[in-house]
Amino acid sequence: MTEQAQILPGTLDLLILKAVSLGPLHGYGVLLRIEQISRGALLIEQGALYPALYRLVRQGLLKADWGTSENNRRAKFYELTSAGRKRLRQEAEGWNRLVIAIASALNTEPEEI
Amino acid sequence: MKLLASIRGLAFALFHHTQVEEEMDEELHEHIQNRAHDLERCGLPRAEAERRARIEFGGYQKFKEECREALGTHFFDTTLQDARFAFRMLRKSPGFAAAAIVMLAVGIGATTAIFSVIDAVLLRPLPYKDPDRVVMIYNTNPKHPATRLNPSPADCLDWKAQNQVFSDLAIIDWDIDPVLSQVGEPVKVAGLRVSANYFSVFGVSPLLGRTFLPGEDEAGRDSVAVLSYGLWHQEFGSDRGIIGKTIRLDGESYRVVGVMPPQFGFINNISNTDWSKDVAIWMPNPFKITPKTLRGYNWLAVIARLKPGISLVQAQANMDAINQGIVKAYPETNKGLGIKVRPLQKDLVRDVRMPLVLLLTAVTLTLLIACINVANLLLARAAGRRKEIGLRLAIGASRARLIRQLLSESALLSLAGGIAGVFLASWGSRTLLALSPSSLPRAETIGVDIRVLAFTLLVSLLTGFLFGMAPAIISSKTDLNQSLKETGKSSGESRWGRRFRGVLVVGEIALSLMLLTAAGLVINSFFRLLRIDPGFNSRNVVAMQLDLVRTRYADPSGSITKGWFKGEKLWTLRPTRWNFVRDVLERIQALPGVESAAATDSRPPEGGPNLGADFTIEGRPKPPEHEGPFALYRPVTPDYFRTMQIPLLEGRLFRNADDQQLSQPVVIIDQAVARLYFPHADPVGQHVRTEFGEDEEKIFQIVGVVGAVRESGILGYNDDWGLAKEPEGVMYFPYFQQPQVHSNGIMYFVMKVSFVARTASNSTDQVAAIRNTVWEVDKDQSIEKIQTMEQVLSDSISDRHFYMLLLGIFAGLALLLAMAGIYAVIAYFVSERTHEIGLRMALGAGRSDVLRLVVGQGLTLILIGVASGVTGAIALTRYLASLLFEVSPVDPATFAIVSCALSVVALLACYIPARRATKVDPLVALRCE
Repeated sequence: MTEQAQILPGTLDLLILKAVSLGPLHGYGVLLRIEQISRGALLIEQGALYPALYRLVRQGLLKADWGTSENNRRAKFYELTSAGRKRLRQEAEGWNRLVIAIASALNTEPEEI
Repeated sequence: MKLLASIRGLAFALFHHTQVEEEMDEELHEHIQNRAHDLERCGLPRAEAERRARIEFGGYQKFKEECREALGTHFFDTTLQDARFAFRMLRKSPGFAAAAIVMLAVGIGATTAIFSVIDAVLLRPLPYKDPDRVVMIYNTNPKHPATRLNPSPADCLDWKAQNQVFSDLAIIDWDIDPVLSQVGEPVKVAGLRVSANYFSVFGVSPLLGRTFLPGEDEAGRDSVAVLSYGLWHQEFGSDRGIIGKTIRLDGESYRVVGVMPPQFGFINNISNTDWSKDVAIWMPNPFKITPKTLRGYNWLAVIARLKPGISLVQAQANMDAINQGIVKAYPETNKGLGIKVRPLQKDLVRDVRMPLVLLLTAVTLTLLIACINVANLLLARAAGRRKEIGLRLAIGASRARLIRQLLSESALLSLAGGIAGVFLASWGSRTLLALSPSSLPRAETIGVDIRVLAFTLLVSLLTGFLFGMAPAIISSKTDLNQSLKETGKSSGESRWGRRFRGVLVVGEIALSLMLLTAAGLVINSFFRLLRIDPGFNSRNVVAMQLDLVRTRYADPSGSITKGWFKGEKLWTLRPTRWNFVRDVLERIQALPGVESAAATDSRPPEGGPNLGADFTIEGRPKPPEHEGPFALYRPVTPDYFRTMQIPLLEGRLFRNADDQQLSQPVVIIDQAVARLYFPHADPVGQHVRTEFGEDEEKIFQIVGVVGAVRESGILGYNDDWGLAKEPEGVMYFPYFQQPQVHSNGIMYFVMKVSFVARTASNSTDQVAAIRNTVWEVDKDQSIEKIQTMEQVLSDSISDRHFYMLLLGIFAGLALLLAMAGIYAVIAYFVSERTHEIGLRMALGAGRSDVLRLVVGQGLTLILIGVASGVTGAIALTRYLASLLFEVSPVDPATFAIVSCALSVVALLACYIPARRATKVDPLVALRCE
């Protein structure tokens, strides 16, 4: 197992949006997808996924529908709405700007000042 | 869109509560199952895989709660949960719940009942179109701005012709109450004679038919009438075919043209007296006299509707200018007259606004005291629940959440109190209605309706918040370690809580002292009113008033040929007018229980004699017109003074020989006339010259002087609840010496007959017998009023009696509640310190020491409460001034008595628990820890 990092507060929503943007998923699927795309580097409290999903649905960023899962059981699938797609783009841009800014700040060498 | 979706989601979640919950469970379970399945595939045994899956998932219930919160159903769920929990908690302590609900129900019920009256009387707009645009116009005496003077016909017509500010101006002759003799017994109905545009001033359309047409107020076309809804309903059985039918009023025929909608008729204070009536019939007012001749005789009233866009100030300015012109043109009649334009709505409730606002204040104070009591109960209860609250805080409840839970309990209490209060109020407002004085306008609309219910709901929630907030905050402040460490049941109250309870009791005592003082002052005034000497002995006297139908007892006999009233119809009385009175009087005198009886015109003392006139004293220079002596006239039969027990001061009373048509003209004056006009001379034997009826001036000899009577009721005519008037001067004439010919204008008064009878024993028993004598003489004669004189007197102060009664009830309630409050606090103090008291006694403290400790605790609170109450009362009672009579708003005696009485009763409330404290057995008290 690789070393895992606690996710920053507020980033769970972003990860969920990203995970769902790659295709409709049920709750457990979201967890697996996040583990997959973060290559297992992020530690997610599994139960916390659901309040976040409910909140995103309420905000109109996701929509939920009951369907059938790959093992033929009833499951609730989450899908990105157009508002969700827009939000994902904005948040991702913001996040990237932040990462670049922090990274460049941290990489600063004394002679650069 | 997002908002809409969110609301839809919330609504779905709320209405499909179980489905949402089930789906949530299903989803979360599915997750755990999937995880377990995956872990199993990684090689873990099934049971271990499931355990791991659950651990990895985390706190299942916690996340579920968070999901609910995310859905937005959280708030409703919690509220429901809180309510259920609050209900269970209250059911567990039914004594506390019952006490709190009863106190709140009384407070809220009383407030609602008073509000229902105020809403109906003061708050609801008049049933007119744009009621704030309707004004009345009257003359004033600039030296006495409060007095109103009625305008004369000529003035009214000038106002109407010259103004540019009113879209309509109507003229009213208000003192007309015709006898309707169509159906059954002849009945007298309240009437107005009005100009044809009267109804368009109010902007109200008739329910049936039409109102008056322009020109119907001219002579010859004026035999039409409009009925009120009430009269139509009572006398004509709501017959829709009434329109066009003929009815008989005062013996003349009128054609009914319309019926007005309900609640239209009430009108008051448009004239110069405190007069009001619920008008039953409207007739057009024909001016048969040319207006030019009729200036200076003032009996009319004027209402008008402001033109759109014209303000009250503009209207006043316009009327001022017109009035100045009139004063300049007719100085002999109008000199010194001012004019006033005043909104009608303001005056409709002029007399009752102040007392009603006062009652609302009183009842609000009572409710406040009830709130304080419940807050006190809650605090005591909270002290007992410190452990429970500490435990909840310990396992993670937030303070806000706790306060919310505690407030739910108080909201539940106050709503229960409110519901019980509504029942009390609907009973109470019916009782109020039955007790209310007739001067209360629009009383028929009083009742509990949707507006009143909304008010109650608001008040309930507000009181719940009021009494719940402080205890909730205080008890949520519990120190965790402290409360959990405490042993047994004697977990003490926090210092904060104890101090706050003290403050509450002080406030409660102060508030009830204020209420009691107000009630004390009003009661004191009332008893002073009762002690006023009316000038006669009202014990065992029956007074009966009849209104004779003029066409049965008089004949038209031409018209006035000269002077101001030229052209007015004249009536000559038939001998039957006198025979009827003589017959009835003889029969009353012959009744076994009657000691003496007499006849006069109007019933004393209410309203006073109907007529009066200037007179001159022979041998003195003739004073300028209207500035000489004036007296009210009262015709009486010889036994009047003996019956009323009015003392003879000088000279002699009337003899039977005086009381003949052709006897020597004699009069008796009362002390007021003697004092005013004969201050230095003996009036007996002097002669006065005056006009009586339509007779020529006659010379009367004064034969006696009698004591003065308060002819205008105990309080007299007064403005805005003013003080009682001094007796007015009255001149008594022999009854059967009255003139035979009268002008149409005063026939209304001439046809009034009153009988007074002094009975040997309780006069109530004689009422029926006296009434029967009338019917023995004429079985068709209606009796206007018959009552014992004591009843008449008490009716004349019934308004004050009503307000005194209510104020007394509220003050009594406040006192009871305050006593319950202080008792509860001291009893709690004792129970909390049983251990300490036991210890003190074990160490040798005597009973008196314990008593002193406990009562001392209460006494401090009482003294602070009384001191602040007195201060508050001094600040507030001056608003009572107009309800008081011969009592100062800061009357020291009332203040002293009320403060002492309250302190004594409060001490008594302390003494009961204190005595219990002295009975503490030290052994038991010490062992129980």
